[in-house]
Amino acid sequence: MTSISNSIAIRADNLVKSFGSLRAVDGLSLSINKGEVFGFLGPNGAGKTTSIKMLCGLLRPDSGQVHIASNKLKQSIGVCPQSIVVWENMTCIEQLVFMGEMYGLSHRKAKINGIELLGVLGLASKTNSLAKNLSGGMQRRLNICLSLVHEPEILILDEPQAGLDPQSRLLVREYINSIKSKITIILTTHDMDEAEKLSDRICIIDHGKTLITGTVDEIRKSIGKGDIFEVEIDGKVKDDLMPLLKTVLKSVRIEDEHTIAFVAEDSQDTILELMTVIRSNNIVLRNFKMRIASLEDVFINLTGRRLRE
Amino acid sequence: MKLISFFIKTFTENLRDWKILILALVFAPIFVYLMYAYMNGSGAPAYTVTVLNLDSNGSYSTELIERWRKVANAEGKTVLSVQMIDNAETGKSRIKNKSADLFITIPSDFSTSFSKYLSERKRPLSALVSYGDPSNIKYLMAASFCDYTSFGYVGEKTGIEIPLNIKFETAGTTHPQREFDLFFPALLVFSLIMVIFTAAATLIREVEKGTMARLVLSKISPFEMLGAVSINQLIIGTICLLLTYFAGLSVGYHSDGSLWLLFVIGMITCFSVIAISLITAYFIKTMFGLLTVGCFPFFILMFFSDCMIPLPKFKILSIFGNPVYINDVLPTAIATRAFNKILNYNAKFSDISFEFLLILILSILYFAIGVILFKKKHMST
Repeated sequence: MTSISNSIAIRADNLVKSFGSLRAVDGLSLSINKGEVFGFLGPNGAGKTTSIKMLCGLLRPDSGQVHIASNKLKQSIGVCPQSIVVWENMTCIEQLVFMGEMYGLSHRKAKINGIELLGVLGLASKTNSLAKNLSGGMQRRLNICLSLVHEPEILILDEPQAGLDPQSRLLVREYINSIKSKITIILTTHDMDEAEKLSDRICIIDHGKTLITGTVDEIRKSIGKGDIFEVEIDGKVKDDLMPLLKTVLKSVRIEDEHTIAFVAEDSQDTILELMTVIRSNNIVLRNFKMRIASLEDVFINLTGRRLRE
Repeated sequence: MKLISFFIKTFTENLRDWKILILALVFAPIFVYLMYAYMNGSGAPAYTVTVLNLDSNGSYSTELIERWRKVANAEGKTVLSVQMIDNAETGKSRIKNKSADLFITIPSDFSTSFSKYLSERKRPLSALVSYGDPSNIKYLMAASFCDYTSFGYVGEKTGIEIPLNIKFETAGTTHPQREFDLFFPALLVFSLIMVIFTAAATLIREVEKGTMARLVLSKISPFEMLGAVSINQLIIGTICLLLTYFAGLSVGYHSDGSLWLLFVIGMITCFSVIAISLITAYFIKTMFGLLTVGCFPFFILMFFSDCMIPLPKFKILSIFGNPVYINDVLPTAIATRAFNKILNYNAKFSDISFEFLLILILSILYFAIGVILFKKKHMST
C-alpha cells in the first residue's frame, strides 16, 4: 500500500486475488475521491468483501496495487466489517477507548470520541453495558462506532445495514449522511435502495470484475434512454411469445411467470405495438406499470440476472 | 502505551470470562488434595501387607506379626498396614488388583521350627514366603521393611547376631518425607502448565471473534500484543503457583527451600508455557479447537514433566557434568527437577543454575518461535 497526494483518497490498480481455483477479484481498478460516498454494489459472492480487505490492507493482493492519500496510513482507514466484531466481555465505552488507544489516541480523547459516537448512534444508555448484553442491532451500531473512534479519513462500511431493524437502519443512514463530505466513505452493499440513497458514485461488480462505475444517474442512463415498463398478463408468459415481443420491444425480459419488463424511449409507439401483439395472441392484460430505471435494472441488463439471485 | 492498554483489556476480559480462569486456578490445587488422598498422605506412606498365618497357634508367628505392625518412621507413625487373611487365593488376588503391596505366608511349622532351633539349635527355620508385584514400587519397600524387621526379631530371639545393621534415612531435608512430598514439586509445575489454556484462549478468542482483524488494522505490533498477554498470564501463573503451594501447606507439606528461588524458576517456566501456547495457537482458530487439539500439548507437558507418574529418564548428553535428558526439551520437565531440588533438597541458586539457564534458553527459543508462527498465521495480511 503506497501513498498518493491529490484529490483521490484511495485508488486501486488492477487488483487480483484468488483463493485456490476461485478468482474472487479479477483485475479490479477504481479510484475514490476525497469526501465522497462510494457505493460498492454487487450480489453476494461478487468479491466486495475481498476487495475491501485488500483496500484496507487486511489482505495482500496476488497482483495489483492500492494507493492511499495519507501519510498516516494506520489512522487513515476505519473498517466496519460485515459481521459483528466486538469484544463481548467489554463495555461499550471500554472497547471504544481501547480501540482509540490502539490507534494512538490518548485515553481522554478516545473516551470523548467514544461517548460522542455512542450518543450519535443511539447507544448512550448502553455506555457501560457489556457488548454481549446488547441486542443484535445495538451490537451492529457499536460495530460502526468502533470503526470511527479514531477519526479515520476513510471509512469502509461493509454491509452496514445488514441485520438492522428499521429504526437502527434510519439512524445509521442519517449518521452516514451527516458525516459524508467530512470523510471518504466506501459502502459495500447488495441493497440497491440503500446504495442509491447514500452514494455519490457507485461501482457495480460481479465475479470480481467491475461492471460499471459512475453516479446513480449515469448508471441508470447506461441501459438507454426511456422508462421501464412492466406488463402483467393473465396466464403464463410462454416462451413462444418472447420472439414476437422482441420484434417490437427493446431489452425485453421476463420478470416472473406472469410479467415482462422492457425499456421504451418512445413509449407511445412502443405501447401501441405491444398492444397489437397482445391482442393478436389473445392475451388478457392484467396490469401495466411504468417506472424509472433502477440499479437493479442496470444489473439485470449487465448480467442477465438479479442482484439477489 | 498500547502494551498497557492491551494488558488492561485482556486482564479485564480474563476476569469477566471467569470459567476458564477458575479452571486454571483451581485445577492444580484440587489435584494436590486428590494426590494427597490417593497417596494416603494423612500419615506416613502406608504399605499394605496381607498375611496368611498358617501357624495361627504359634506364639512366634503372632509375635512377629505384631513387630511388623509396630514398624514406624522417624515421626513415630506406623509404616505397615498389616491385614490378616485366611487363604492364599485372597492374598494373591489382592496383589494382582493392587489392594495390597505384599503378601506374606507364614508356614504352619514356623513356631515349631523356631522352638526346635532355640532348644536344639537345629536349622533351618521354616521359610516365610513373600509374594508381590515387581512393577509395584511399594512392594519392594514393604518387603524391605518386613525383611529387616523379621531378621531383627529372629536375631533378638535366637541371639544370632545380624552381620549388618541398616539405618534408613531419606534424601533431602531433615524432616521425614512422605511419598506425597516427593511428588509435590511436580504438582507445582502442573499448576503452571494450566496457563497454556488461559494464554491460548486469550489469543484464540481474538481470532475466533474476528477482533484480531481490528487489532491488525490498528497496526499493534506482535511485541506489544504478545508482551501484554505474557504479563497477564504471568500474573495468572503466579496465582496458580501460590494457590497450589498453599494447598500443599494445608495438607502438611513443609519445605525449608528458598521460596524466592521457587518463584524465579516458576516465572520463567510460566513464560515457557506461554511460549508453547503461542505455538499451539498457530494450529488452531477456535475455542473448540483449543479444547480439543489444545489438549495435546497440555498432556505432553503434563506426562513428560513427571506431573502424573515418574518416567524413566534417558540421558542424551552431559554439559559441564550436568546430565541432559531427552524430555528436557520441555522446560517444564527441567522445572520439575529444579523445584524438587529447591523444595526437597534445600538447593541454593548455584545448585540449580544449570536448570535455570536451560529453562531460560528454551523459554526464549520457544517464545521466538511462537511469536513468528503466531504473527505469520494470525497477524499478517
